[in-house]
Amino acid sequence: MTHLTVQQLSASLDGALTGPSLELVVRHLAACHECRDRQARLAKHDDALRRLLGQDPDDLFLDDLTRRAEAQVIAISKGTPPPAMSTSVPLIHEEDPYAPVEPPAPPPRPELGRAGEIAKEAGWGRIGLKPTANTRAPESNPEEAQRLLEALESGNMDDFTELTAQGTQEHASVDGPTFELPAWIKEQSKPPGKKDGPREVQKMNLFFAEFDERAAGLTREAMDEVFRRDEGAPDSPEVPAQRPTLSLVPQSDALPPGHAAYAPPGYVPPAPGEPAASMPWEHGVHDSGALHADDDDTGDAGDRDEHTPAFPGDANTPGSMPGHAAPLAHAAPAATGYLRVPEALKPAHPANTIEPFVLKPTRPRTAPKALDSATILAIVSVAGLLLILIALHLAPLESRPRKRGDGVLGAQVPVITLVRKDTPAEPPAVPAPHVSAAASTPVDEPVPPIAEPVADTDANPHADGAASRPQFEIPPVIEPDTATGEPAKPVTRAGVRPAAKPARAAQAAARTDKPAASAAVPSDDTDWPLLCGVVVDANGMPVAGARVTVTEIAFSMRTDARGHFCLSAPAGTQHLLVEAAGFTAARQGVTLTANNTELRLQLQPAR
Amino acid sequence: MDSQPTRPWTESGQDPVLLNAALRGDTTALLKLLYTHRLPLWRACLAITRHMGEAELLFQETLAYATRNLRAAPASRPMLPWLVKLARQLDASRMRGKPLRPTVGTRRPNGEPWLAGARGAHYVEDEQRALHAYSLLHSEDQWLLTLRLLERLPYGEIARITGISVPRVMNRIALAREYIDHVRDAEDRAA
Repeated sequence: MTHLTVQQLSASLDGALTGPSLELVVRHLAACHECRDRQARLAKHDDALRRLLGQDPDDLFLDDLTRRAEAQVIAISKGTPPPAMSTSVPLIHEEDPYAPVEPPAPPPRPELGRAGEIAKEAGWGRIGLKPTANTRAPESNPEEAQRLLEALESGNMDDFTELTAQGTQEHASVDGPTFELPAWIKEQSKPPGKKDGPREVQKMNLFFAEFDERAAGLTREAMDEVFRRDEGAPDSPEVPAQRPTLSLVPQSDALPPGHAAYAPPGYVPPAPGEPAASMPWEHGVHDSGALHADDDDTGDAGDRDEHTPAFPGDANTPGSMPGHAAPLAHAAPAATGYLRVPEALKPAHPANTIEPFVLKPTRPRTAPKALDSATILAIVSVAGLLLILIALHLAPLESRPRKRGDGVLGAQVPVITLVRKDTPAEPPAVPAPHVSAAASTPVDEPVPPIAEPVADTDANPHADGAASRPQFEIPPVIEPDTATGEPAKPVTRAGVRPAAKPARAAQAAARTDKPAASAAVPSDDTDWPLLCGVVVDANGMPVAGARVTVTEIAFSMRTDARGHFCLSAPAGTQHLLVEAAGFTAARQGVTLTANNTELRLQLQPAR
Repeated sequence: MDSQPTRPWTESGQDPVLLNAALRGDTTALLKLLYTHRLPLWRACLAITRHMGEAELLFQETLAYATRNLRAAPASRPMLPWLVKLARQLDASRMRGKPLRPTVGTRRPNGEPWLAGARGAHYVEDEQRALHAYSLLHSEDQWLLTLRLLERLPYGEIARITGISVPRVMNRIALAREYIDHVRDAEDRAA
């Protein structure tokens, strides 16, 4: 990205750009944070200089300076000696660098107005600021009060002049009583009925119809602990006053026969033989008369069941205590507050076998929230995505469209094909010049040197017949070195066919308007036979670094240090272009078949 | 002809009339010229000297010199550029052979102390560095920046005042800004 020049930034700061120049700068600034930062820095420097040098002086200073200059001008215009020039501050060479620096004078305060004057007179100063005078009343003096009372009884009114009209006028600015505005606001902000200090909570008694300590597994110490708490002081320091206490009273103390296990205040036990009266919460009635652990209308946790129906299936569910299902169901709404469990009943206690009696703090009962549209949409989206992933995972590989880059974790694995030639000792039954490394030979496994078949097919006893091994059509431009009778050198390099070759071949075919057959994507390795050769100069010396190009597929490679090259191309007639520095480029047409002999390309020196 | 030119740097207003009257010996016209251009002249003197006391002295010296050389004033052009030009020349001649003024004085250019105030110490430090970089500029570049930043003149008017072409004015102002930014950046790195 080409950033804006400082000229453009400066001109944009000055508003000197118009038309396309302005549009260019604005668009670039919208996309380039570096230029924005740079422009912001320049603007910052401008502002600093404006603050330092561009502030106009006040009129007093300017008038004084003008008066001094005016005296100079008048004196000069009249031809009189001008007065000596003077400055209001010392010059640079007159300055004392170590002089103490005094803060600048504060700006004059604006007029207070009538309301401000009244507040100032009352000792409150300006609204929102610290009071200008002490607003606290003087400390009380009992002795002085006693003296004044005695004086009042004796009829001496000399000390009460302040109460007269004259005294009030004289002491109009005397501070009034202390008035703490924040405390007053805090007090007024409290909800009605809110009281300070610990709240009074209702004490609840829990009765047990039949309490068998042996059946409950309680030890004597545990029972003593339970009842000691009940017999002790109600405001024990271990029990916070804000929490209702849970008292367990043995049956022998107060339980009438046939009474429910838990008798909340106001509960009338049914007569013997009479079915138990249903409580309002059993019918889901929002009755304000339901039991509350906190009935002081303070709006705290104890009041939350005021609008919440009771749930019999809570911690005190029927059946949690065998034989006391119905009474404990009645006890459920009373447990909406905090219920302190005695130490002996805590689970950590070794004698804890009273799980049916444990009353836990209940959760606030709230109606289940309806799922909003955003949540539903998110759930549906996630479910749909999971279904798509599962479908993709279960779909067969063949049915998936193969795309570029489709591989393991999206990475494209290049297809490397190692080409080996048949060894004379073990000629393959089927001509297979290409061996896929991914299919048979591991990549790390070294490819053994391949013995190059001789150029003369008749000398090779293992060579295939003419039908299976067609001959090269050697054009007359560059003759293969078959007349020398030299045995061909073994090929030590394996041909590497890039994976992108078919695409490039198709592109080349499209460009050259050649039939697509020659540049078609090969179906197997036999369609891309291997072509190896050697490039030599006029003296028969190998030419290293020569570029051999198959023009039909626009694929080229360079010869190695011994002048060898080895490439694969679509079967059929192809044209090779051989180029090398210092040599004249040569073209040669070859017909690639499954079994090709090695080419020998000879280059002529450049003229 | 307007009595108070809205563009005192490039519009003559009543300057030629007052100048002719002053040349005829009318002191009132001369003082009226003084009152007309005192504020921009003061700003120019403060920007040139970057010191309040020095600016007061230069202000008086400029007006005294202009009164003595009133016949050299442009007859048909605005008076203010000529006054400011005198101020610059007087300051250059006064400072010739003397050590340069400190780039950042013991006080602000308007005489106030360098106190951080409510905006913090970095605020003062930024201002001091900006002033230091500004004082290192060439006097012509300082003058161009003064006309642009303090007087808020467009490039065309600056070109007419200084006699420099508009592209050159724009380029020099941009390079002056870049130099200030460069000096500030170097000081920040050194700090």
